[in-house]
Amino acid sequence: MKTKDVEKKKAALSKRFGEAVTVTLPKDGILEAVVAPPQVVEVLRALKEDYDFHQLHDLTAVDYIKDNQITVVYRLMNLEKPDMMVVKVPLDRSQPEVATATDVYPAANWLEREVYDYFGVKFTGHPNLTRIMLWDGFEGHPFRKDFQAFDQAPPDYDPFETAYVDFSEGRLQLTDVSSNGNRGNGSPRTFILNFGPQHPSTHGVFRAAVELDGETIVDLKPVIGYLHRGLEKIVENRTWAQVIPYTDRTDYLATMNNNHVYVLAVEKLAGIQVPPRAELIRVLMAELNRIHSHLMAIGCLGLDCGAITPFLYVWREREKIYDLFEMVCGGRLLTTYFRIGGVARDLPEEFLPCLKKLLTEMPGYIEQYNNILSGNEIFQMRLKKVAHLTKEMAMKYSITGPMLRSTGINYDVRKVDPYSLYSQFDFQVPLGKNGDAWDFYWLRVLEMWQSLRIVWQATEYLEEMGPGPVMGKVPKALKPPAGEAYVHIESPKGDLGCYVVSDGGPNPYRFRWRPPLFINLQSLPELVRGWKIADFIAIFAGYDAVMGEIDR
Amino acid sequence: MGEPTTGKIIVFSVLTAMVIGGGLGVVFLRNVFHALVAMVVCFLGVAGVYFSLQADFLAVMQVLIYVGAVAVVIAFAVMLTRRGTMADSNRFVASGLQLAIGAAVAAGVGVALLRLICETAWQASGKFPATDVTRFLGEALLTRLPIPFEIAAVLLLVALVGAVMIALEEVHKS
Amino acid sequence: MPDVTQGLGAYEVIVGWLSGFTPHWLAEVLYRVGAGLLILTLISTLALVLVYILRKVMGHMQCRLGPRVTGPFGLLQTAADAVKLMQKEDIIPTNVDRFLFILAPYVVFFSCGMIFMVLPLSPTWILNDLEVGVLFFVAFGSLASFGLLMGGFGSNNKYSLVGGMRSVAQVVSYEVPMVLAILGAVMLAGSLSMHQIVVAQEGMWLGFIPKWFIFLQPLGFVIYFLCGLAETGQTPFDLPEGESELVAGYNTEYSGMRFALFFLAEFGNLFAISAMATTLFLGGWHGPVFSFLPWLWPFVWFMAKAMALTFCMMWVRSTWLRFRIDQMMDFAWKILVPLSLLNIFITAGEVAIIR
Repeated sequence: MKTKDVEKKKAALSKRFGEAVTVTLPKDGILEAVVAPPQVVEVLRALKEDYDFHQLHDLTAVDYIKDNQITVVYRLMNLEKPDMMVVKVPLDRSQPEVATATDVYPAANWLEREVYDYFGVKFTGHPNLTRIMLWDGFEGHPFRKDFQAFDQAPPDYDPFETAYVDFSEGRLQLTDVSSNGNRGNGSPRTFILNFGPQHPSTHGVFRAAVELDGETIVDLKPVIGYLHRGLEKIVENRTWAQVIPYTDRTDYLATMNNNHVYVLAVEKLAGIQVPPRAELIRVLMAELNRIHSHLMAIGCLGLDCGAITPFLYVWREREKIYDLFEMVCGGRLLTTYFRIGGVARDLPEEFLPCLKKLLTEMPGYIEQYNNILSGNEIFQMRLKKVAHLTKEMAMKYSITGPMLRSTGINYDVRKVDPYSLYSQFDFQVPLGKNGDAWDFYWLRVLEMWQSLRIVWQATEYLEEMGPGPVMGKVPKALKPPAGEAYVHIESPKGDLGCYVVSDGGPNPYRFRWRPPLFINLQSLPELVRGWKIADFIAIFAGYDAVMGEIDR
Repeated sequence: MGEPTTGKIIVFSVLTAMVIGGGLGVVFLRNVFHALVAMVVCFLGVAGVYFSLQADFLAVMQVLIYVGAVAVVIAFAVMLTRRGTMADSNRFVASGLQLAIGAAVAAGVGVALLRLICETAWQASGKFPATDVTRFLGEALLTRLPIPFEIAAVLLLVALVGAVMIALEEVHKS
Repeated sequence: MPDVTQGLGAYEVIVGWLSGFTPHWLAEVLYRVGAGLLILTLISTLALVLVYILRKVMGHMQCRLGPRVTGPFGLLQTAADAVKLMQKEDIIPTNVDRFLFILAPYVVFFSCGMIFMVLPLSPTWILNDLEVGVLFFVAFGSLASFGLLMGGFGSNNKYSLVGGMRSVAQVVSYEVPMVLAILGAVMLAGSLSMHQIVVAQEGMWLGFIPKWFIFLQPLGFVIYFLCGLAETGQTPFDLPEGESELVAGYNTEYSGMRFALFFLAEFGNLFAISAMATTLFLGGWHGPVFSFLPWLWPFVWFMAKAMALTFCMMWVRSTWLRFRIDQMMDFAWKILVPLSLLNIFITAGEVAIIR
């Protein structure tokens, strides 16, 4: 994004929208437009159609209690160029209401529900504005700055009168098998099967109420929020450095990447320089964690399809990677290794030889997985041509990550908007063609190969570079200047973003995690409609869902 | 064969109890699925009776076809056409006057049949071999009785084609 | 019906001894009850052993060790599990159809037990050499599907219902190629009796190739093996109990001893299918007989061959994954049935040539 282009765009937008919109260009180079509430949908539509901001990257809100405003922040993205733009809509705090953006960007559906849940902002025209993370009877909107928590618990459900499930029109009761809402052609053929929070294959606590016609899925209603811990609110009471362990707990399979995005955001906000050795170690750790996360994804995909053995084989390799992490920072799964300004400590002596040994053995192991899993005809039959993710659907739902690349769209943040030292590494981005479940699986295997390349190069650079400091100059009590910063990286699950707002104090004012899986998951109903139960399990495994990130 | 041994009497009693009990269960049980299970018990009892008469092939066919196939099909039919709850889905259980009339008719028919059975001079045909029954049956079906065999085959083919057509119709409709 | 005397001439001995102090009819009844208990013991022991072998085999195939702690090499693990299951609380969910729910495990176990009646473990050890032994096996195998349907339907649980429906569809579909594959071996042997089929595989060609039917119709063996896997609900056909889709299919609501019954029946069926394949295609109890304990060796060979096939099934279980329901039906009707019909034609040709 060159400054000249940005200036041109700023001028064009100011001219187009005139008074209602104020376009500014803050120092991080991302255009910001402040729009009055009545014009929001118009502006968004114009930005989408005329200025090619096809993807709704993020939708969140910040409670500026001192200005008596709740500002809804729309972050739009143009994947081709790439280009990012922020639209801010300040709303009156006592009655925050704005028109819904779901007509323009269908991906806004869950995001607006989340903002409603957290802040109480009413999005008029939203098809189903109910709480998404907290339970239906929750009182209050917790992310508001003046929210006082009190003891409240969800109501007890009588197990024989199950909870209501809202399909898009009307409410359907989940009762016994003979309940058939006379949908579709009017014949009582369908029944609702609950792939409940406790299920061997829902990758955590996730509930999918599936309407089935025999074995074919007619409709699906995902229910999330079982693992919601209010991370984004908790960290508002922690210092900037104390936030790092909380970022681990979102996507707990790719902790290094989570740490990475947060520390990059804070460093951008505070203007902290990171020494090159620390950057290199960060890249190495992030890529190692990518391998680790993809191994888990592959194993779980196999397990969900019935192959129990490859799941245990990948655990073998994951143990080796765990040993490396433990060597470095003492933690296996939840590492909390990165710090604002660098990493916690330098690599111990035995790390690099151990890593090299693993790297030489990994290709053999990946071949083993290919032999037992990828080459298995039954596995290929289960996954090939199952689910059809088109480019339009991917753009519509703002899908990112391997699923987006399986449709053929070449968007990997490491290549397109390089952060840290990625521009100095030589690697490819594998692309799929069909957008089927096989591509979801196979791209992860190919990405593992590419991550291995990056890790090799990183070890070579580390040896060339020699010892050095691993921590930059960071004040003891970090108080970044007032402002905000947004950084996005390519995590194994997709485009992970972190939006931090500071008011100059020791705690983050607002910490927003842009969870790729939460946004991807909105496409689940459309993607599985018409397929069988077994396909639903396979497709859902292709999302590689980790509930920690979806629910935060 | 001579006089049946006590063991054989006991076995026959048990089997007859299964058959009659199963039959009564089909008629009197309120829950259709339970009635179906009673029917399966009845079939197994009949198979047992065939076994005790040294008609192995027939007994095995009884189990294979009636229990393995017919009962399952009836179960599917029950599940697909059920109205209301399962517990009292068998609507035609007789009681009171109906029961009395039915019992009287059944008793009358039973008495008539028993007289017929006891007073007929049954004669063994002598053509059936005691061993290698299957070979005998197979040869009979293919050499002396080919027409019923072929008609049965055609009937099964018609049923199969009909089932496929009905299923295809469902697929096209949805 | 031939009496249960094919055994070690036990009938006269035992009944004679018993009628010394009980009426004759009671002696007969006790003898037959004893035979039934013998089958139960056989199945239970086999199931215990097979569960242990499965856990060890699968463990080693998955780069881990399997049971190690209870008893030397973990040998007492299954016994410990059995004790645990027996002392568990018998949970019957409130809204189930009690009759069906309680009866289903017994029906499935009953069908497994009946199958064991006709297995020729040795030339003299066959509980009942029925003339139609093979058909008996198939018939009571299909009784199990009804039991699974009862369990699935009676559990008042949609997962169980879907599992039960799938299991019935699967068992019924795969019966057809199974019977056609068995028919090949029957044609070669000329009889439906299990004992006769094994006897027909006596001898050797060229002095070193045993006259097993697997060499005459390898296709039949493969088809039978696959159909056997499907009939008992093993991977790759374990959709009815698709663990990652339908929690445990028809098994979902069962716990404690009822679950143990299903489990025993599953492993009993596993062994029974292998035993049947051994009888039909691998020569049954034929094998070199040594002079030490000559009456034991046929049994040893039979068990060895059946165990080898069971090991293959466990191997398949750890390696392959499960089909989707429509792919499974496609496989049965569009691939296996034509292949098994082809096999029959080939076998008919072979029979014409041999005779």
